[in-house]
Amino acid sequence: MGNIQVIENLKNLLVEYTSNTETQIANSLTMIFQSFESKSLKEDIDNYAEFILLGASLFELKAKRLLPQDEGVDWLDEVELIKDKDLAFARLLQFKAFTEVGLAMAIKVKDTEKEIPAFKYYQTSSLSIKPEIQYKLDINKFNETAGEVFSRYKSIQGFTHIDKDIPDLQEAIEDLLKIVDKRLNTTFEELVSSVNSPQEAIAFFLALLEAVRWGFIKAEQTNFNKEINIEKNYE
Amino acid sequence: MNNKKIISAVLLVSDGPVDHIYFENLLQVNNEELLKIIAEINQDFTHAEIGFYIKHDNLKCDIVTKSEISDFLTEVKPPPILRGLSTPALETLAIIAYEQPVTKMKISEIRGVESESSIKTLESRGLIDKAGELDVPGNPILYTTTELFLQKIDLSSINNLPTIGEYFDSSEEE
Repeated sequence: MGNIQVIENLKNLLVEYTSNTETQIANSLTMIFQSFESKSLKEDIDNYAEFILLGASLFELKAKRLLPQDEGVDWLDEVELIKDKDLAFARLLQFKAFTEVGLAMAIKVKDTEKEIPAFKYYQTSSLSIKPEIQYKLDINKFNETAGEVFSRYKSIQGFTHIDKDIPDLQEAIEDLLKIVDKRLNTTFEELVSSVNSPQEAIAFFLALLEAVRWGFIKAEQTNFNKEINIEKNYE
Repeated sequence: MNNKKIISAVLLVSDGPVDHIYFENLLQVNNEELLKIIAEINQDFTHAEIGFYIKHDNLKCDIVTKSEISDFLTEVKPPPILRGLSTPALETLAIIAYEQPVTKMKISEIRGVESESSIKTLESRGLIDKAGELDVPGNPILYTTTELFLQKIDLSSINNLPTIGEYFDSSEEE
């Protein structure tokens, strides 16, 4: 049984599909896969791909028949679904294609590099093997290096806070609970209105998360641009 | 002065391939005559059993070693430009080659993963370069392949890349 037989079986399956007999469909599918397994289709990539596509389409048809048929499906929803599938499939193919092209390019470059241009400066500047750096480190040297690194970072924008004390999270949690106890309900924005630095505001936010996790308070934000409402948890 | 001497010497010391137009102006010859001289030099090299020749395309030429002796040059030649490059980096290179000029976001969108480190690696090898910014909010950087990439892939222009993408053109999504 050759490729023609496989195609014949697929045709039969389509005919039987319309005959509405599930047993016939199952039998035909079995026959198709048996014929595929036993024959040389595997060695023929074009036929293999075609076979997989046809098989997948038939499975989709069959799967659709197994779904409830009574509910009417909006055809616009169907079209949207097809568009999404099409896009996803196209992206997958595109990604696969670029993977293959990347590997093919690597082979081409390797081949081209069999012919080496005469010594040129630009090659040495970007391609020379960097010398291996060996650096022995003891605790004193480490301290020294760390000190140097920190002193350099101080001069870089964004690291100016490096010497500042880190706010105590436990303290922030206690402060938060005191305020909530006093006011019963408040907002996060009110809580941070009196803090002196962004670090303290962050500590308050972390404290809020911890207090919620432990169940001391409840916090709710209905929308990302709305206030975070905080209240004592009485449960 | 013998034109063959000048061409071979210029190619020996030049920092990269030399455009035909340079020799045409320097030696007052037309393109046809220049290609004839190059062919003669190559014949001389072959007769003398020299291990290199002048490689040329329609635009430029350079002295390169002959491929049949590449195995004997392993210890002295520069390291391969793709040495240690991962498959993701090669994917990124292929995407930039075919989609250029392209933003980092578009590359990541096609690959489905962040491509920052691959881009940095390719940039450090001189295979890609920044080529301006896209005129949209945020002004993302555009990347293109370099002249070195063309040399390494043995093409005279990026337009000569074999077509793979006529169905993949998604420039409207940018």
